[in-house]
Amino acid sequence: MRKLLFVGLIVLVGLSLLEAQTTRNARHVVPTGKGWGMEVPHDIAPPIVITGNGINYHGGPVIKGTMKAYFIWYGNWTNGPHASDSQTTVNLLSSLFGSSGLNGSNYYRINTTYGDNSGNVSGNIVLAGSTTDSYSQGTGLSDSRVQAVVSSAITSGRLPKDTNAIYFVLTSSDVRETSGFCTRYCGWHTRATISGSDIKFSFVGNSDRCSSACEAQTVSPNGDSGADGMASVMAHEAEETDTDPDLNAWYDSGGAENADKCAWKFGPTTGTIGSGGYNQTLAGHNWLIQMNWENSRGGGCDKVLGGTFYTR
Amino acid sequence: MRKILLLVILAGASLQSAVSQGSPTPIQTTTRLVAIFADLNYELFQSIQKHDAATFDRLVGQDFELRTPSEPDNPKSREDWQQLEFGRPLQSFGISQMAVRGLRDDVASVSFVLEEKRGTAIGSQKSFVVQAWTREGESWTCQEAYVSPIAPSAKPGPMRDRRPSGKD
Repeated sequence: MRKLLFVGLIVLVGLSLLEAQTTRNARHVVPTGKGWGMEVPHDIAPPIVITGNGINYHGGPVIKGTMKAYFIWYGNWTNGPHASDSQTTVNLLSSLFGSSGLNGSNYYRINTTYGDNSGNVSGNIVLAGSTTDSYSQGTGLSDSRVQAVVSSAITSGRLPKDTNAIYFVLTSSDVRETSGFCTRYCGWHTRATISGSDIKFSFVGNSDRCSSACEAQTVSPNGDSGADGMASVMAHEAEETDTDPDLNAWYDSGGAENADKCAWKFGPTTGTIGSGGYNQTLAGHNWLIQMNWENSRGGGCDKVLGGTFYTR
Repeated sequence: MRKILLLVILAGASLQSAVSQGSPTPIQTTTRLVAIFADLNYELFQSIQKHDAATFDRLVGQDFELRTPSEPDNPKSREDWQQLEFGRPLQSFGISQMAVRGLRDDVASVSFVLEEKRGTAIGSQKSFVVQAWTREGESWTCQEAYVSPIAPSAKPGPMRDRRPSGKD
């Protein structure tokens, strides 16, 4: 009987540890977007390791080493209702996440100012695989259906299972995301346990579905407003996943993660926003990509690591 | 001993249940329009808080009307609303759960939950607000608002997207 009790206690301790790892640290506000947060109970004080740069550490892991990106092109990316539902968009966004795109760029290296107790974010991200999904969940996706799309891609073997990665579900312009795409958000990121592993994934819809809501300009640097609009949102989701993959690492007192703090802020541009202005040149293309919050020098939005901070 | 073992197992089962609860709420990248109208509404309610008539005048249209469910046939004019608002000290406010639909390039409908603490009141009051805004040039103006108090017992959904006003 004592053995049984001992085993029971071991199980209980193990479950407690698991629960501690998977539950966000309780606090007043946790992230949901640009400077917005979700109120949660506050009976456990979060460990704050670093302060003074406008964003705080809450104890969870960051992604270390090169973060891989996997694309799931959902819907019709050949000849959908908008011109941007096309192979051109597929090629442009694949190049942005290719080895000479965001990967190791002075822009993406802003994320190296974030870390956890065992190391810092690398500033590297590469596209490691892509697949397609022809409306397996219909044209109206709930958040759980987005997760089902990711789960299906992994369990079917179309994409590998990778815990050091972000899986993007990229929907063509005829697909709705019913929890508020276009009225509340342009994209989101989260995590879930899929096939027993901690998988990070993101939804980003074709911004041409609602250009006034999800695009800074309709005349865009690459002549593809959908791809150019999605590029900034995808960069946003990638850098938040790198620095807050399990939603318990880096965010500020209002619940804003690093990219939230600079959402829709681009800094100085070459050309004007509205007429194809851009602020980054990556992978041989010009892009208008939002700034990111640098966790050093007091904190601020900049276009490159160590660059000038801008407020808009 | 069996009772202790049972308690341990029950505690474990309860923890396991907590662990297996669904995925966390996704972290959203708000739309450009939500960013714009969140800023405009913060400016508007800060103008009320500071009795800043010039800013209030800039953001609220001349023909503005405020409607409430308690007096659907008796809308408040812009002047009446300003007088009412400026006469009640606004200690703090918060805006959450904002959604914006751009109906045209120059017309938008906006909805959100407003939480405000007035005067010496101990608690705060939540209201569901729907507004219609129009744009002339680069300037947006609020033309219409519908404000419906949320009963304390009502559950308008999870308290998401709370952005601190800095005045809390």
